[in-house]
Amino acid sequence: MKRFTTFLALLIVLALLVSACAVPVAAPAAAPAGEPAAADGAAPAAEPVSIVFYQRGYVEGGTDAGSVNTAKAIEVFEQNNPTIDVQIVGIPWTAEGDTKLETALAAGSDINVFRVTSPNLPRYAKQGVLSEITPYLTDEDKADFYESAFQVATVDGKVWAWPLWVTAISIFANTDIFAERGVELPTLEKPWTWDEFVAAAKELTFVRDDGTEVSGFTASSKWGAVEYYPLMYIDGGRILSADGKQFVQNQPEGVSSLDKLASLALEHKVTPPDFGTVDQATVRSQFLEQKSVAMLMSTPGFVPEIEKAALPFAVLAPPIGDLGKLVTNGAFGLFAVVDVEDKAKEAAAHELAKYLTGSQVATDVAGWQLAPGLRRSNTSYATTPAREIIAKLVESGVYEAPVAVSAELGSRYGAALQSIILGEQTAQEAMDELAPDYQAELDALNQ
Amino acid sequence: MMAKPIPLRRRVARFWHRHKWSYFFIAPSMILFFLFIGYPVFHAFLLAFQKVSLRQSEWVGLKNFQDIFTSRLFLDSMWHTLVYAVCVVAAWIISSLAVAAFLQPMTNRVQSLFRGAFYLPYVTSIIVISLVWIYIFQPQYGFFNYLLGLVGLPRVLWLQDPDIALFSLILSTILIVPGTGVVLYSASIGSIPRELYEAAEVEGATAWHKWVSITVPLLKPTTLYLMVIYTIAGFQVFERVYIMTGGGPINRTTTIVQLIYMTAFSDFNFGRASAQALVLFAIIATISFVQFRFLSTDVEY
Amino acid sequence: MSSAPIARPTTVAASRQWGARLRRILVRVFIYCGLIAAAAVSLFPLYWLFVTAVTPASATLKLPPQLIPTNPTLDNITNLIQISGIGKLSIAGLQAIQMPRLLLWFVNTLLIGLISTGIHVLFDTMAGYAFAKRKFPGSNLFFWMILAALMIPGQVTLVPLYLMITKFKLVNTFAGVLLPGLADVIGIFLLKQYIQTMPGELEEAARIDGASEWQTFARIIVPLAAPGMAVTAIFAFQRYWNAFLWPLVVLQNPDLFTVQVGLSYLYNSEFGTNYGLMMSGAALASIPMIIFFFAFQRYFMQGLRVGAIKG
Repeated sequence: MKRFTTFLALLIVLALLVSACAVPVAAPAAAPAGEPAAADGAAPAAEPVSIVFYQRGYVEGGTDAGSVNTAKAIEVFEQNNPTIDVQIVGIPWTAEGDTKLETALAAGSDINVFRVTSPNLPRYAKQGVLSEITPYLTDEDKADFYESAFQVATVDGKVWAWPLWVTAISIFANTDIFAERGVELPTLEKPWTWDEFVAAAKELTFVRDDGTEVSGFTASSKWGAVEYYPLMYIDGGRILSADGKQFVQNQPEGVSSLDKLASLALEHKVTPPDFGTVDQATVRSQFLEQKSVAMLMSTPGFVPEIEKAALPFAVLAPPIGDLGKLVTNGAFGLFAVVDVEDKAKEAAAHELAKYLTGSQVATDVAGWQLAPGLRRSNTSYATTPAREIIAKLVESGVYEAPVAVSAELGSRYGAALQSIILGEQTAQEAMDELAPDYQAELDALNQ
Repeated sequence: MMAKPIPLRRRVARFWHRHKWSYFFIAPSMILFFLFIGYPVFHAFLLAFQKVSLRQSEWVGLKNFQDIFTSRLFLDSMWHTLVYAVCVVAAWIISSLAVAAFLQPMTNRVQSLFRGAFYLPYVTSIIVISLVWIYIFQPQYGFFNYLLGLVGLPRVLWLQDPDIALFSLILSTILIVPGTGVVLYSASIGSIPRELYEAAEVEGATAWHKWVSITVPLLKPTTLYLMVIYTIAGFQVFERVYIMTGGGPINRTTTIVQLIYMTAFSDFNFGRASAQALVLFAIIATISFVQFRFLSTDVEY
Repeated sequence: MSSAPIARPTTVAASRQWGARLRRILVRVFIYCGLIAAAAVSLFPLYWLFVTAVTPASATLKLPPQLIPTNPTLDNITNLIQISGIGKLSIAGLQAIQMPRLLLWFVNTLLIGLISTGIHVLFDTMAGYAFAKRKFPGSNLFFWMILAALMIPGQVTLVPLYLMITKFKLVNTFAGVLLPGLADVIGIFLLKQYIQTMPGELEEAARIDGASEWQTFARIIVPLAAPGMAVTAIFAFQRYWNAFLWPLVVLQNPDLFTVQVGLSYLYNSEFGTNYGLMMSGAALASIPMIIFFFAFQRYFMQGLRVGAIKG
């Protein structure tokens, strides 16, 4: 009996081994990234080509803004390019949506273009699955895009995705509370210095007669949705050097701005008690419904909500620090093209991505521009004074190079930020602790 | 006297005759299992010994395991998950058993109602439940701090304080009586034949005595099932923690499955993720083995 | 002595009797209160979910949360129906019927859920019976393999499974969603434990009477295992109903989506999550599950009756 059982077990293992070896771990890999001799370059394909486009938040036949806009844009594109047929696959805007995309990539399914955000771009670039856009950029394009637009997608001089827009972070101010406390609003021409900002925040932190607490400032701080990033750059510090090869946030400029950030919570006490760990939905509710926060640093996506709630507000630039000029930060929306064997498909995919990130599409599709565009010729975002200010901030953006550090290191970095704000460590301690490991990973990537 | 050796053909025939029905009964499940679970798991098992990314793979032997055990975050996650699982399993078994016991003497109607009340929360998605708890724990307006304020106690930073975040997560899990346990224990307690109790009563047993010497031992199969299932669920906790704290603050609540998910779908390091999964599996399997040792009996009513 | 009024407890024994009865009542009340409190705590998230579902979107994230809806409205739900668009239901060649997508998703999920649950219960009871009552070579081995598979988190088997489905050309089909789900073995463990507790004499008796194996199974085991089967049905249905990651990865055609998958597209946008819509969707999605639960609940009652028959 026992011998039979072991025999059975061995048989099963053998069967599995045989079938496992017959199937490669991943589907046969496409040609390695690089320009094959018979490339089509930028000319559109002459014979019919069909490409697959993974778009976020798209539901075929859906009536929400995102689906309608995408469908219209693709319709116009196909009209202008009759030889290209685009099949759209929708994925939701959640981490599971990422998983769906990545599972398809890992399994070698057909994907030609997909929507990606700047935090996620580095990983895809590192894996070698993307197709470089630089050969498809005309001189006109290069002059049209802001310089900072490519910062986020450039590795070693090569650009790996088409930039669509950037969620330039700014401060939203509740003008009612400002008026109530007699605090003057700064303007874009005459923005606040750091000290002026802190003084104002202190004035705006008080307890109402009915006991509700109002705080001067807050921002989403949960790792993965950190929106106080601009404050880390106001003294000239940054996380990585411009070429992405050195970890520099433990330098004086980096540390001083982190100290400033922490001081808001620890020294000046102008933030609510959950600052440092609070999520985006909660801070937006605090600003909009509770009105328990006078200033919220957040992304342009919040503007339609504030307008819908009819809350009187103003857009302020982040305060100026030791650097002496305006800075902002934000996440990019981009379109990435997958490197595939069929070069005709790749070229067609680049055409689509170029169209979707051009200035023409905003006129073809009403309501397309949901965040400030990255081309000088694209002015369709600035439809209200508030949006105009945000659009003007884009140029002052400081963005990190796309470096794919491990998820573990990323989460340790987030933990370090939290420990600084919560007062568990000083900024210098936290960054010094992180520096050796961070640098080690960077070095390994740059070999 | 030597018995004549039985020819192979007859041995096979006898084997088949004796066992063919058993195999027939398990065939549908086992075929599906091997196809859709066995094979992918085996595949994943092989991945643990390779360095795998989106476009390539190569064999690296035990390197993935080496990397795992030298990673601070992995060891911390293991610890958090262990603490969480142990507390939750114990609390869940005790609370569901207690509730099922208290429900027992009541009428069918009342039992039905209570059972529904305890099971229904599990039909909502875990995302919703986690969001509700975030609000309950909110420092300024949350329900818990509101209660504390009523009795004059200072407010607690439930999910923001690195030292108590894990405890808050455990609290949020165990405060809700597990519907699965209540439902199962109810069904099982209900199946115990009356006569056993009647016989005990004749001999003058008290309620407590009946409980301890009849009910609890006869519930061993159910208890074993729940213990194993809860242990697996406890060790595989992910969404709940991820939504409420994202693994923070300061990575003090990161769980093992969260790490696996990040390694697989953020780093595309499928090999290392598989290795992590294997380590997790080894731990759960060991614990289950011990549970089976203690609780497995051939109990028949 | 005999002419004293009867009502008053005059002896120590009688007063102790009163005391004991009072104690019993107090204990009873205490238990009831405890149970009601525990139930209230457990039900709170569900209650809050339904309240939020009918709260107008702007008031959703109010802190402190409103416990009683002040302006109940069905706007959220009509909104959901609207933005999901219109889809076409077509089953294996039958004429395509047009209906609001949201409803279509419910139909899809119901189909998948019911078919899967039905097959599941049948296969799992068969296997559970074999593992519980029959001795055959490899039974321990297979059982441990099944159990071991439960311990591997699904994240690492996702890609291998997807690769397999791609090879079978089952991507973006119902079968692709159904089949791997059918392999879920949690029911086998449950039914094994449950059937194990049934006395073996019943089977013996049936066999002596000349019943075939299948008849023994169908006529004796199944009726007695009904409560266990009902529990498995509920658990299984719930897993299919709330399944999210796998259907999301496999399905691409919105007309084939299940409820959870479809909803996730609607309330998430690049700029954040619309919690009002999400809660409404979740509330709607939980209703069939609740109905299913109450429908199958009464089979537990059989457990009590079984006890009376035996012996």
